Amino acid sequence: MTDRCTDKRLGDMLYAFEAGMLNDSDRETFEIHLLECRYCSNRATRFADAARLIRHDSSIREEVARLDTGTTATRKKWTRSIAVLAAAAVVILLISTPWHIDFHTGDEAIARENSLVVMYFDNLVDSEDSLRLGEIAANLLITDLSESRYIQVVAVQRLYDVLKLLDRHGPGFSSRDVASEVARETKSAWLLTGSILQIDPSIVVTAELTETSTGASLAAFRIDGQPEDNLFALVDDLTVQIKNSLSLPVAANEERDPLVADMTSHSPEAYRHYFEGLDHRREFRFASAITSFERAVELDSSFAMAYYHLSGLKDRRLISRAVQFLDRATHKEQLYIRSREAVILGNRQLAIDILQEILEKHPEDKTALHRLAGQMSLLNQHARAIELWNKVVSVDPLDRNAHNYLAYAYDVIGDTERALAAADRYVELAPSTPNPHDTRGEILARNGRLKDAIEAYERVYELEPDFLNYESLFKLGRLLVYQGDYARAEECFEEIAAGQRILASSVARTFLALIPMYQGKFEDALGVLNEGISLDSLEQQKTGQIHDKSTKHFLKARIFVERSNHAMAQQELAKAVEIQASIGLPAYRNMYAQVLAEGGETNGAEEIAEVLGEESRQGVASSQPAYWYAMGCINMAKGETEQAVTSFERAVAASAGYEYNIMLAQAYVMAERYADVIALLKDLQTNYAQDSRLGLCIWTVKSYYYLGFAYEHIGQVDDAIRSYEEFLRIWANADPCLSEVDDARERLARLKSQS
Amino acid sequence: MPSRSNTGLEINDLCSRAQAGDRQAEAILLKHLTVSFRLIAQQRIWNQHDAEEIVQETLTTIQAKYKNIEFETSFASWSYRVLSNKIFDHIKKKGAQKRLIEKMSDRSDMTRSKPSDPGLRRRLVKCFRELSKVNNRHARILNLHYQGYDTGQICSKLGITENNFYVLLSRARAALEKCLNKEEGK
Repeated sequence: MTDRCTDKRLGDMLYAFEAGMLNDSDRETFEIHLLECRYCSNRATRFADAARLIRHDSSIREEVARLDTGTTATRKKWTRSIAVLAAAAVVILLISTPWHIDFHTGDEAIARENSLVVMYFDNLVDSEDSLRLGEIAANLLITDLSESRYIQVVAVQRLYDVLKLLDRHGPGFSSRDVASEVARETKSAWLLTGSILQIDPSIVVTAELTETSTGASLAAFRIDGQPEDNLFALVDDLTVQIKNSLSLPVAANEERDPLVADMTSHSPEAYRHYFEGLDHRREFRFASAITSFERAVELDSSFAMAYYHLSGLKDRRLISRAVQFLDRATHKEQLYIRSREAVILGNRQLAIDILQEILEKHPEDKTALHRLAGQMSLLNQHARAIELWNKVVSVDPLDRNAHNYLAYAYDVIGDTERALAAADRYVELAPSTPNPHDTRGEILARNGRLKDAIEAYERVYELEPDFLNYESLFKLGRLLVYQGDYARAEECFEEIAAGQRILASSVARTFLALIPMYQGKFEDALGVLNEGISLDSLEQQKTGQIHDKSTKHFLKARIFVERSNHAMAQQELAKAVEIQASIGLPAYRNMYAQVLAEGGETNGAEEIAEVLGEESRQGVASSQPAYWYAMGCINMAKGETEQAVTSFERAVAASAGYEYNIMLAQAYVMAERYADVIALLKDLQTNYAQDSRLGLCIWTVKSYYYLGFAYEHIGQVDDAIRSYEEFLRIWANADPCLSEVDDARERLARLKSQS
Repeated sequence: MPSRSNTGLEINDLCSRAQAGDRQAEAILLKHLTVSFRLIAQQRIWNQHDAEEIVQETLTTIQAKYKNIEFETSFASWSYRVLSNKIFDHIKKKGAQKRLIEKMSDRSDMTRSKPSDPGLRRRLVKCFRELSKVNNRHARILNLHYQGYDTGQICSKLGITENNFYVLLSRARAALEKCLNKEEGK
């Protein structure tokens, strides 16, 4: 083995190479040297495992940071302070207040007592503060001071929320005017206010620390920066002096105190864009937020939190960049990054654990509360989710999103009163935006309040006609059909059909056919469907997109079933299945099995059921209810009443879809389980928000007939009459010779004559 | 090819001999290239399997071609070029987005995977602590590097020249290596 390097200068670069410190040019030179020098090659090979740990291992990085910390904190405390003292006159007034600290309590208890709110600095150079230096200074101070375990600093988001609550946010408000109100609202022990006295040729700031309970001034500071100093440097100085003046426990002097630029960005310009991004995001201007964060990472490619926000707004894969630069974030921000990474990697429990860790230290952190509530909701732990969102509301009563989520969460657990109260509060907070009205409309529709729901959606339409890609207008149209206002419903769907969004137009053409179909006017409906299919075909030739053609064929099939034309029904359903298969989204196979079974071709139906069953056994979730649906239809066709009930009950257990429930009701009718029919159909009929309610309108309308039938059989005559009347009202102008219509008329006449 | 010194591997010399038909020289040459290529590829390719694949592909290419080439620069430069091009092609092919995904999944693998010597992490931490008692700039340099500073910025912060920087690191590495060997022997 050779005992020395062939080129000492290059040999000295070995460790830098192993740690990944060389620039591209030096790295290339060194790598060629590695090929030529067996000495270095052998050394590198022996050290390879250790080098890998030094390059990547997080616990090694932590240890290095810890070893570096002792010198850093000291340097920061003393070196900069000495520089500042030497550079300018510093006036420090210290009024010491004895703190009665119980040394037996934990650090957490001390931190809660030692709570500090940092107000936006007043910019005396520019009263409009067009560059928002006052807010930036406060943001940076909050970031820096928050790293201390011994001070509980009111977070930036909380400060923003409180100022909005007090209606004191924006230009024109002096921080000092609102400071005491903010301190009271945040229950802070200390208050820091400040001013920017000068920007050029160097930055000069003053600040004052006040005890909120007494109003006593604890300390005042003036920091005169050097011409080359930026705001970050002054913030570092100020945090040291603030901590020194607070008489914190001795251990506070030993804790790591990184430079604020190390936890944000060394580029003031990048930070400015980041700051603007946060602002846009808070105000739901997501496109602008993305632009700002992208600009931030262009200027500073290691800006961890900018990547973090981009991963939430634009591309979740960017979380890996945030993780890569984890050390360039505060401790709390690192937990956020890790939590999102865990969600993206599918480790929900880890994400939850991390969010709970954040809340242990920062119980009023709105973002963590929101995120944890969202995770709980996904796990169907709605009670816990509600608890967390209520906590958000208690921290920030103006948080719109919390009220929105609460409305849905209460609705899921069946607490309609609270759901509507939350929706109403949401509307109060943002009356001129469409989403609150949409939420309110949905809750009302789901709970049978048709007229009120229509009113809510009309309001959405007034504010934004194409809200959520016309989703709200579709909902309005559907509700108008249920109300019997067919002309207005037609207007809604015509508007969408005439719009620029091709898929929405195609779906609207389907809905236009559903209006006559709902009324039993099947001949008219067929005409509209055929026209819609022609237009869809033209679109397909132009764009290659199939859009909503398969649904139209499905609806045609159901009409042919009503006409007992099973051959045509099967043809149409086969087309629907083929279209879906061609775009790689299998669908309608259970419906196809149904028309085959209804047409007496149970063998064909059983073949399809077998395929669905096999898929279900292989873990395809959507195939499970579809399989039981197909089996239920086969059972019904064979007259196997009890088996049909069991099959459809299994379908409903696997999926809450409307079609499974409505078929179960029909199976209950066959099995003469009238109490079950009534319970199920009354529940289904109350819910106007079900998307498939109009799509399966033939069964929806017939459900009034089945309900009448069930009531009649258990002797509830008045209810039976009402149900038959409703059925006949809707199908008053239906096509002739519909057997249910004739039967309902007879039954109604008989019941009325008997009562 | 002239050798650089009488103590180096003389890779270029080995190449000349291999080209002349010396099988033993070829075996030594390929063995050395394998080791060195691995060190280089693992620096630049996150996924270790991909890195190994690239090394093997490079060696195959070199073995197939080197005998017929009259090198204008050195064999070392040429073989390095082959490796670099393969690495570059891999990066281009995978695409930036996919590499991000790999990094995400590999990072979780990385943090979970243990070094081949399970006690190495513990020994390394101990040696870092020992080293910091006599050399406080080593931790500082590494920590600044972790925070994203480049060599120039680190030198500027520490007030040292680039030469001093490398010498400092070199001595730190020697001390670390000595400490690790000592700890391993215990």
